[in-house]
Amino acid sequence: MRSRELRRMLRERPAERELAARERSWEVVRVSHARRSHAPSRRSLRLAAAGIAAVALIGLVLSPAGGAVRDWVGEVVEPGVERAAPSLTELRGGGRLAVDASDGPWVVEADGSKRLLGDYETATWSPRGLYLAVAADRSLAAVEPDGDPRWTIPAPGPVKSPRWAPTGIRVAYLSAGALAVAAGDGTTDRVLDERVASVAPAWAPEPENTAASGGPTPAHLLAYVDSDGAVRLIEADSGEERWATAPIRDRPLELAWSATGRKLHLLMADGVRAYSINGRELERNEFSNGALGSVMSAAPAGPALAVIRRDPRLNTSYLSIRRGAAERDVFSGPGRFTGVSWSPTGEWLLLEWRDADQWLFIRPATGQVRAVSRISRQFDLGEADPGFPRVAGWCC
Amino acid sequence: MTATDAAESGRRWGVSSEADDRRLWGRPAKDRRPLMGRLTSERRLVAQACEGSEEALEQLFRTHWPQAYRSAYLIARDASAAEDIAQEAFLSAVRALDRFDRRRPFGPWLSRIVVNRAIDFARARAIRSEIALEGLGEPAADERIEPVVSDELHRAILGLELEQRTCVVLRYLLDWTPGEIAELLGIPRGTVNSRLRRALDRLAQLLEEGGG
Repeated sequence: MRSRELRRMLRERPAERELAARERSWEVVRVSHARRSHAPSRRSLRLAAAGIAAVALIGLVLSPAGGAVRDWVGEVVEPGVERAAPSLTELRGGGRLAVDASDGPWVVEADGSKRLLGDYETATWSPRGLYLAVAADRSLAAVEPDGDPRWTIPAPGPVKSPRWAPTGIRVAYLSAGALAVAAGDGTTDRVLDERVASVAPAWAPEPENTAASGGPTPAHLLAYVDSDGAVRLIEADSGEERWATAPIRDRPLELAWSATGRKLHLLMADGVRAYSINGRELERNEFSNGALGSVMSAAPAGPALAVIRRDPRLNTSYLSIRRGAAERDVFSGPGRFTGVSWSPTGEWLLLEWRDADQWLFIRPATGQVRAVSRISRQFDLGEADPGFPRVAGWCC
Repeated sequence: MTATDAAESGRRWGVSSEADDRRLWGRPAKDRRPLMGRLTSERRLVAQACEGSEEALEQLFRTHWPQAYRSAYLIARDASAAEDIAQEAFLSAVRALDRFDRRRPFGPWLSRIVVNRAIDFARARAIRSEIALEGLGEPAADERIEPVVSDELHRAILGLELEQRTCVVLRYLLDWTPGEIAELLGIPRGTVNSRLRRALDRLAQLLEEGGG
């Protein structure tokens, strides 16, 4: 190969996930830049860091949950919790996990045993856990938890973020920059919006769906972010739009409904917002100390919202539980927390700590922490780059 | 039978329609302005970004993101890590805008941060792999791991040793001279040239084996 040709090809060909990564990163960089003019001096930052550490330690020692957590904190030497279990032998909180790894999605049973579903990109559970919707290259498919395929439908481009409606009758997904909805049996699908942002759509939970329909048949209310950054709520069967916000400059990174469906949470790089089912803005809470949001997950019951934020100046990530404006940090550590999921009962949280190559099972009510190490190796077939797996769903 | 049961066992619905097949990659035309013109324009953008212009920052970001991300990806061999590394480099740049020497070009300064962090990541992971596999009696993993990558050229580069692919990225993606690469990596210039030669030979071999 001639060097000239190599140069040309390297400059012209995007790498895997380059464009999606660019849009996510731009939001983070933009918010950081906007805050820059109000940033404190480096000296005050150091003092603030020391203060935060001191306050956090006091908080851990004094709070009921902290009593249990502090033992772990003292034992953290490198990123990660010491005395972590070397392998996954139990899911605290029960249920089953869908896990996206480099070889494809896996299903992990409550006893830690796991099975690779096949050559797919990502998976999402159906509401009762009978099937998983999986993304193949240019198709959406449904498979049984043992990997047996049920149906496949073609898509105009790579399929991303499939989400099964709580009724089980619809599956929403993104493909080629569009939002589409397929039937739960894979018979038909249609495009609802041709220009949307790369943010996973969110179905309103069933109680609110049923109430919104005004009859015995549930409506299928779906929230999504369009390409201008506006959040829209539509009735997926009729295509009728219920409401839309104005384009939001800080484009939301994630959407999540509260368990009752009364509140739609928007995770922004600089905070959390909430809208009512009728489109009224209810809350707008900004993160303090220049931290940047990255992941959130609404509890399956009750109003709690688990949020991961990160302070890039201190290279520290925080897991907090929010109830409206009230916030409580549950765990913090160096590096990146890449995901958080609630157990089906809402009793446990699974925190994905990439820089420690660990999963932490955390019980927020008591502060119990159970760590499992070498996670990337446990989802590695030996031939592919293990990377760090991502929990795509924790089901019943 | 509930609605969920019915749906999950196969109920039909809806109207079928198809979305237009669109190209995923919309790349801007290559900037062909003379180098000095680009540098002057870039200095102005840095100055404007420093004064708070989001538009200027966005232009800088979108201009330099492809090289930053690709460099990190090809060296670290991990898309998630590449996103973090490139993002962190831009965040560092934003934090250091006030102190940035505007006589220097922005791109190489950013690239230096990205490349150093990507090398650190790749080395750390290689060490972690060795430790993890020690007890299993398997060979060190780094060089036998082949990520699943659709692009043939990228796959071939990811198959090179860390030292070789770093030189390839610096020379052919970022356009650094062998002297600049030698200085960054702290190795003799002759070593850079020999690594590049071996890398090109190996790339040709890998592409041939892969049908390319």
